[in-house]
Amino acid sequence: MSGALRIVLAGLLGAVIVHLVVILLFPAIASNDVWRAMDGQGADGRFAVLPQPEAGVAERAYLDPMMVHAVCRFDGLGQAPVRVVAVLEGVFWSAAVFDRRGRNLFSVNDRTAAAPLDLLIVGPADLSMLQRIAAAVLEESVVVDVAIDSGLVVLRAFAGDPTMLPELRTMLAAADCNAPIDLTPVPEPVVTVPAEADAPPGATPEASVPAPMVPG
Amino acid sequence: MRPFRDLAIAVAIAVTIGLASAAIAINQRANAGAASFGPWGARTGVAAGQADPYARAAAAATVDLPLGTAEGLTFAADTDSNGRALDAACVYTVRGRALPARLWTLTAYDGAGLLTANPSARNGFHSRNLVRAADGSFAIAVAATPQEGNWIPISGDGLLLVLRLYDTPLTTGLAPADLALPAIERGACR
Repeated sequence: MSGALRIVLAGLLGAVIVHLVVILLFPAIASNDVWRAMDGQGADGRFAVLPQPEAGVAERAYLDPMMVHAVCRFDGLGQAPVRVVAVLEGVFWSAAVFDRRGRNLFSVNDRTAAAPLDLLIVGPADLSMLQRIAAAVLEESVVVDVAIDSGLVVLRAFAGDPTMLPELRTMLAAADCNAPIDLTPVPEPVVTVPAEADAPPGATPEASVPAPMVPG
Repeated sequence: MRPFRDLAIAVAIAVTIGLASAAIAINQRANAGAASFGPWGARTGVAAGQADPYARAAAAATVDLPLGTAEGLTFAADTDSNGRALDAACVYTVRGRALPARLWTLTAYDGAGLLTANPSARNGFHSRNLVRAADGSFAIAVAATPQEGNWIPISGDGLLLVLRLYDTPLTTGLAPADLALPAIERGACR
């Protein structure tokens, strides 16, 4: 085998390796995720109604101009669930949960969801929390079990005519991304905490008490 | 010094071809969809846990909030039904019948995927505001010059048509075997 051929073959083998490494690492190093695209929209922990896509503007060009969109970013799903409650009516609407990279993990529309929209988004570490959530909440909400810590909730409502925009924007702006979640009270410990424990008087030593199962 | 020179050439080949092929693969995947129906390519985004690394890389290269299974499906076309690239200097007719969706929208973008400005502020039609023929079929003209009937005015360079089907059984794999998305017919060109 001639030297030149050997060089080219080695180069092509290396090209295959470079190609695979780039493809596999790209999702981890790409910076243009949809989470960052929502910077400045004021969508942390509450719903922000996005401006409609505009002519000649690349920002939000991926959104359907005949829909109104509201976005809520959430973080720290590992610490506490997120409950979304929204009264949406009169038009086609949908709600979806996305991870930071813009992968659609869960979606409902006005026909598949009961009105009003009530989603309880729980993360991987929330299972013990789920046992403490009042049965009433679990009965009302659709529990969305996702393996992410942060992500986005997106509401879409169909604006068949530009004159509908103000009303729809008001409707979406009233959606609650931080709805209260009733927790069953942690029961008093059966064994009294010894006096030498360094917990201040009156503090609830909840960490040491296993949460009760919610009946039903 | 020959071994070093040989190594340098091999590394140059590896980096150049490796990077270029990866970029081409990501771009193609981001533009084209997983499935296509005539000129329409489905833009499905990436489902949770999807293993295809090319789809994941393409999704990471584009900022998007793709429609989920309960929401619908997005199709994009940058060619007409005969496979010719869409040209903003031509008159196109998007012709079809009832689509399997509760609601659908058709939007015209320029070649860069941006909306274009026009006096009527119209960039598209939806299934509830277009004028249909007596037999339920419809025709939407996409052109820079005024057209009769349903007309989407366009301007600028290039043309991209995006069809969004909302609440469609296609997302759950219940596609009718004879799914017919609208045809894109090219008329006169300036």
